[in-house]
Amino acid sequence: MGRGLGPVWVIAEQGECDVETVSLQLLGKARELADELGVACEAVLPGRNLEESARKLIAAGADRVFLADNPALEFYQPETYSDIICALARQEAPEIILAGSTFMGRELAPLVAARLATGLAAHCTGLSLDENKNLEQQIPAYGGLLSIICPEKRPQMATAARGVFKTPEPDSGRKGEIVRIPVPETAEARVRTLEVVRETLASIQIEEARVIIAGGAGACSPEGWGTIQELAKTMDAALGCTRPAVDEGWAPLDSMIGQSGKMVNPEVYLAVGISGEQQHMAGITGAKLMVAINNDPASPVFQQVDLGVVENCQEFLPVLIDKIKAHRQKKLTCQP
Amino acid sequence: MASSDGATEWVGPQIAAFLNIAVVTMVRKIEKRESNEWIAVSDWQNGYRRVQIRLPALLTVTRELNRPRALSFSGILKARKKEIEQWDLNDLGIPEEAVGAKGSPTVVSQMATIEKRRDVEILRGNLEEKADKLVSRLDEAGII
Repeated sequence: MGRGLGPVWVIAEQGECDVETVSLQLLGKARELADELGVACEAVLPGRNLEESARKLIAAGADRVFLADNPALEFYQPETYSDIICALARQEAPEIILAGSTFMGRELAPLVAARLATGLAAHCTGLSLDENKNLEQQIPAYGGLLSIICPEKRPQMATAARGVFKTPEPDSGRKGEIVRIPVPETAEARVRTLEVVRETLASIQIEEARVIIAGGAGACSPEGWGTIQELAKTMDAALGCTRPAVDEGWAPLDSMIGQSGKMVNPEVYLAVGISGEQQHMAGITGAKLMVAINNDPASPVFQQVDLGVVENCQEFLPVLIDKIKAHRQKKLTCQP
Repeated sequence: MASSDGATEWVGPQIAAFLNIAVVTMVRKIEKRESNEWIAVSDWQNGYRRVQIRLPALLTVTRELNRPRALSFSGILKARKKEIEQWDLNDLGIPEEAVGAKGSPTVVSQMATIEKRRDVEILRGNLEEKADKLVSRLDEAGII
């Protein structure tokens, strides 16, 4: 007698003091997929002191949570974590494994996929089941949307960033099972995380921001970037960017918006020197007002925004900044 | 930065898995400790992690790692004489069906265009006028 379909899994991640939001969001999606397939929805969580996080995963939709709870796993350890997940996956034969596009997920998911000799779709912006019950993994590319499937191999693996899926409403009454799994001894680990250190973040968190100014290749010069920073400061906006701005070294990686960066949901989004590539635009959802400043009137960005200004940003921004400052001053004096 | 793999960032970890060696991604700094032991600093959520590594290992690195030294004229001349060795599948002993589209567990099942189109209003006038109009629209949106 053949075995039925395996469960849908989420590789959950313990953050500094709580389970990562993306893990709960993926669990919400995993629950939907599991219900459609008629299988269980399960999470694997390695780390330390995980009892409370496990309960949150159950409240978010998990039928079962495998806990590898051990002081040695306080920090992400690539070899032990992938050993645990691969061994358990061989035993439980999940149909699907989802992981967050976090620093951990981006390292761990490809390791696990290679070791399980299966496929993996990176930084998906949508997940659904096709008519053959294969996981259809949406990825923006070539100005369109690709659907990727993994028809032969199992598990089907995918990562997605925080914000791609909604955080499910927690149901504290949900029943689920917590299964503690043994942690293998890895005395001879070839790589060992000694500590994770938080660096002070002065800027506004981009995922929480109401207003985002984003700069791209068209603004990539030291002066150009300085002006964009000033505009963001003037408007109390968070500063985001596209990949070229990171590659050029103007902006930090954690401010990159898009499919392989942060997913954002601002009220107002203002693109400066951005061409409107899908990989970037896929990272912005739900903005009420989208504005682009670009010197090329034919730029595709103008088909994806509500307001456009065709100007060289180096010339336009200083004028705009002055006018915003003057406007604010005027408001301050007339409407205290 | 990551890898030239369509920004999936997976080539590094997967090569390491195939070679069965250790991997650390997004390394911004690396220092030698003992003969075979290194300490790497790599990007992490809200900060960084410090990792102890025993070689051999595969590292993916960020641009902070190193500043390439300037090219010298004699170096450029020497580089032109260096032989570039190319390996093909035969040299590497890899069967053809293990690589490329045939070797990929994943396939593209569909392609669709994205309809993310909005009706754009292009602000007209000279530079000053455009800036005035934009300020007034940002004010309407309640953000300045």
